[in-house]
Amino acid sequence: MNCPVKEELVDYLFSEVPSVKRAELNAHFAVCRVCRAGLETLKRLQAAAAAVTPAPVSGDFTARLMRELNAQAPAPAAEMPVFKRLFKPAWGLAFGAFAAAMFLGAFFLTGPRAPQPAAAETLYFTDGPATVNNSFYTPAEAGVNAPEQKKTGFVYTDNCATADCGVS
Amino acid sequence: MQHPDRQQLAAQENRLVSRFLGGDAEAFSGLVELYKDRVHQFIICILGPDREAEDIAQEVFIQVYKSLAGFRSEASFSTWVYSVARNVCRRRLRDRGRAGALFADTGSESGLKLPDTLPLPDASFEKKEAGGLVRAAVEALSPLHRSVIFLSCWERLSYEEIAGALDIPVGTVRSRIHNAMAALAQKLKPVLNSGTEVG
Repeated sequence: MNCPVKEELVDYLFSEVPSVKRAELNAHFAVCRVCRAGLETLKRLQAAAAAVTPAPVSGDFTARLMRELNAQAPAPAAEMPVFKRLFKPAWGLAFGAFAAAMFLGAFFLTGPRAPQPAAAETLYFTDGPATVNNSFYTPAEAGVNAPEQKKTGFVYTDNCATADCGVS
Repeated sequence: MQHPDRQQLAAQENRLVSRFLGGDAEAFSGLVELYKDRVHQFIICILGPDREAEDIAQEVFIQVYKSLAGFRSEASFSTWVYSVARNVCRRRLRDRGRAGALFADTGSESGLKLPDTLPLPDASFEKKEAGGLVRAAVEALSPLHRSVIFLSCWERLSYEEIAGALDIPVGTVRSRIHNAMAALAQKLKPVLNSGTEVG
């Protein structure tokens, strides 16, 4: 192979070449004195740069930081005992809100303000003309009344209403 | 300070992060101990020698503390910490009115000024002096070059991890590492040619 360009030498140095390419380069370094010397220089340069140890912070850095953090806020996810976790204020508030929602729901669905069902007769329509039907049960009556206790009901057509049809 | 063993360090970080997220606030001080000097050095890489570097490092860790609950292990912890540090530095530079200078590859070097080549070492050239020259040469690089040299040579992060930490494409990392190594080689030419083991 031809001599690698400098970027490829740097990639080799930082182990950023694929294994196949690395094997090719290894074979090349074995026979090319110039590239071997170039790589050696890069290695020494890397070692020199790696020897520049980070500038240390002052001795009380961590203590000062932890004091500052404690002053700002407690740890974000402190572990609590199971009992406290189950009964901490947030849960109490959530439970209270849920209970209130249930009570209000029950009140408005079943109490005096509950929506009233529509008159049973409005549910019954046929395509035919308005007629009186003497053997008709409304849903409220069905299942309550025995067949022999049939009551009079009304059948309305699509195009008339109770008051207009004159069947009552 | 010992050079970090990446695998050992990652395992230690994961344990400390897990403990912290489990509510053990003391675990955070362990993370700080692991990273305080490195974050401090990274800040110096970006800003140059700065009297406020330590205060900025404190700000970085406060940010890390507040954001750690949202840390996902998709990136390595070190990459994430350095990206937080980078953002804090960027904000600080913006406040100082020179945000545009951060990582701008203008080709000009900032910080300490050194001649293009360092003076030839004399016969009694010692390892310690060589180390000082290397440090001075690194400090004389541009913020961008200092940062990639630190992250690649000291931290031994991969190109991809460096790209994540600096928020630049991998291809850009590659070319900038190459340029940084070339600039450093130029400044250390006499040391490297002397055959003296530097560092």
